Amino acid sequence: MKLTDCFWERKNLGENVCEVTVEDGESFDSEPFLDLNSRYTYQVIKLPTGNISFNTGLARLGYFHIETQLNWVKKVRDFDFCNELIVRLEDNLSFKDVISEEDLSLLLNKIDDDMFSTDRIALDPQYGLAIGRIRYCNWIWSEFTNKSSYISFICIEGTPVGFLMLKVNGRKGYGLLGGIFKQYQNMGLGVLTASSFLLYIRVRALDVSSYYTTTSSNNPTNFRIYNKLGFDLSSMTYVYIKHVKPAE
Amino acid sequence: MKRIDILKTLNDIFNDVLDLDDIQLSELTSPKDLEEWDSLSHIQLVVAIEKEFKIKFKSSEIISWKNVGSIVNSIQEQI
Repeated sequence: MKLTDCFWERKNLGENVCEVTVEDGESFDSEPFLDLNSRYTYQVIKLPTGNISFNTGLARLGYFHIETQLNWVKKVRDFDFCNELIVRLEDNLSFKDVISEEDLSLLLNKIDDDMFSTDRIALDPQYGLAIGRIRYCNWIWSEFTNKSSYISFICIEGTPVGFLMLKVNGRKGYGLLGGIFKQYQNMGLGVLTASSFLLYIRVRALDVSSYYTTTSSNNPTNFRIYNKLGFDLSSMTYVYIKHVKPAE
Repeated sequence: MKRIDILKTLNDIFNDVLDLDDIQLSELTSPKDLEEWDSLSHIQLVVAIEKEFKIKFKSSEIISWKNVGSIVNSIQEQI
């Protein structure tokens, strides 16, 4: 097991947060989890699907399953850029990189509470949509400030309809975040949240051989889109959470 | 082509793409009325409609559609 102190979440969520990552094949032991309660008021446990001893053990300790993460991968060279849906969407599509403070401000202003409504923070009654939005805005701001990701508007006929945030590490590309702005949602552009990253890699001629991203079981439409576009589901991860009342 | 005939053809396309048997579209039908009409099926519908009517919509048209009536308007402008 690997424990991460998510110090950055203090700014987002206002409490001490940890994330525990369980490796494949690990057996459940309650001892390390009991120790967490005195240090962290919000605990996130991620484990590979199918580890039933962990599932039942975590449930006994008061953790509950909030989502299953679906981990997708696609070799860029294998992506079907000729897929009729991609071809149709690519028509009049362009990208405008977020490079100035003004661009960033414009982007953050376009992100509304509903944009990431299936996110586990947004769905958590303890947090909700507004906190979920602030958390994502902080993340975008951080990636922009650190210049650690490509951030770009997705434009149709020159009008920004959404955005993407792509991190490149070596020859691997990671789709961190993307979304369609509220006024353009439910009009077929959701497919762009999956395909725009590959199109961006191609348009910008980035030296990326494999593309990785994660979606949530709480967003079944996203599952259909990735499946339809030929992404490979490489693994799935259960996500359990627990809120601990701070000691009086 | 009359609006009623376009609507009838759209009805068949929607049934086929959304894999349903009994859709009865009206011009007021919107994605909010049909659970199956999500962002993926929307673009599938666009492709199917363009093939059927042998037309091509502008991207700005597609993202401005509010309901089936908007689609009928766009089709009528091109045939």
